[in-house]
Amino acid sequence: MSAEVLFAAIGGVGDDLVAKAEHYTAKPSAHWQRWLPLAACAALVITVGAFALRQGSLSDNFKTESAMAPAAEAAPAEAAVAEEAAVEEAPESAEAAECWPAAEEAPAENAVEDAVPEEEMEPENTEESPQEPTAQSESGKGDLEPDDLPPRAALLPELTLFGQAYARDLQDEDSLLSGLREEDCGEVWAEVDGGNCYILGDEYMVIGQDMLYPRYVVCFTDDGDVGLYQIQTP
Amino acid sequence: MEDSAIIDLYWAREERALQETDRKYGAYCHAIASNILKSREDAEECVSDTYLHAWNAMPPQRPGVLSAFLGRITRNLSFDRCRHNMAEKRGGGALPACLDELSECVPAAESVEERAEQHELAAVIDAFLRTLPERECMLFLRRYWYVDPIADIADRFSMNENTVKSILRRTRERLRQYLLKEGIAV
Repeated sequence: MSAEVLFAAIGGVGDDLVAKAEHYTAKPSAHWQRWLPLAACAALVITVGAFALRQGSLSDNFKTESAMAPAAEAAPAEAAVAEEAAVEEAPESAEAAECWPAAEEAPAENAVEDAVPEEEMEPENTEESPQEPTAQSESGKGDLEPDDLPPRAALLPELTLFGQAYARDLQDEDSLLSGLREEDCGEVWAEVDGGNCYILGDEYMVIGQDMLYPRYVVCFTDDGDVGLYQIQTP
Repeated sequence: MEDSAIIDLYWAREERALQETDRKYGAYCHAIASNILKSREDAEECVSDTYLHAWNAMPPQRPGVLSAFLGRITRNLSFDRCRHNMAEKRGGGALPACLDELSECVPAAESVEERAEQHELAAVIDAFLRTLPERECMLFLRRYWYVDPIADIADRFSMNENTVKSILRRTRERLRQYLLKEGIAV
């Protein structure tokens, strides 16, 4: 009988297999493992959903920026002149701020023009500006003089913390500019609502004992405005 | 007592070897015999015969795995007893069903007898089993080496009986294909 031959042959398999089968007991699957596929599917759905939401949010932002671009392109020609001046001054101010001057070494009040020689401007620093300034500057002039920069922002000492200062645009009660002193590269001033302000020149104000703030800053706002500020002491 | 010590007793021709064997492997051998034989008396006789065969085999043999050695003797003796009983129409336990299932994948009788000796076929089956996943291999051996009932296997492997039958059916089909591939005609 052929099945008997096979049965007898199975009896000749290795001792190790026989011994292993003697005590072999499969581990019962844990109860929670039955839910594992469902949990994996749920995790996948959540991950994909979150990714889709994130993509949708980014897409909305892109549309908003695209809608703003044509308006900026329609700006008057003279705005570009002032904008150019502002952009060119901004990197220099960042460069000037690489090393904070000691308080006693703070230069005289109207040192903006001297501190921003055009030949020292570095084009690559222009790229550091997070927003291309495209709208008309506040002054609307091509060449800027210190006199063109009347005090337009006032420090808010009540909000000023160590290493960070706040100022307010004198023409806009709702505005709030903030500056954060950085360790190595001077200071970047940023509007709370967006955009960035850069130190202009190397003229600083000493307030209190250790607080040292720039007198002039140029700000690029999210809505395309460029603002030149002389910070007014409180 | 360790297996090596029991084997030493056999080699020393001490009758205590039989007592120690019965103490350690009596239930094991009896379970194998009971799976194959329906009669409890027949199973007990086979177990006793197993000890006698072990006594005669050691020396000269020194088995590496004593349990497998004793189990194989018990299985062979039980198989012979079952065939004898079936020939005399005196019942056959679970073995007939087991043989029916195995007949699905066995090569033609004349081909096996002509082309391969039994030990060669055993070597092929051994190689086949080592290609299987552990669970399928163990399940196959529990069914066709230990002749465990399906219900017992299902309980041991925490499966339902239909799953066990399904796995066994697939494994038999794989064995059939493997035997074909090895040149053993089906």
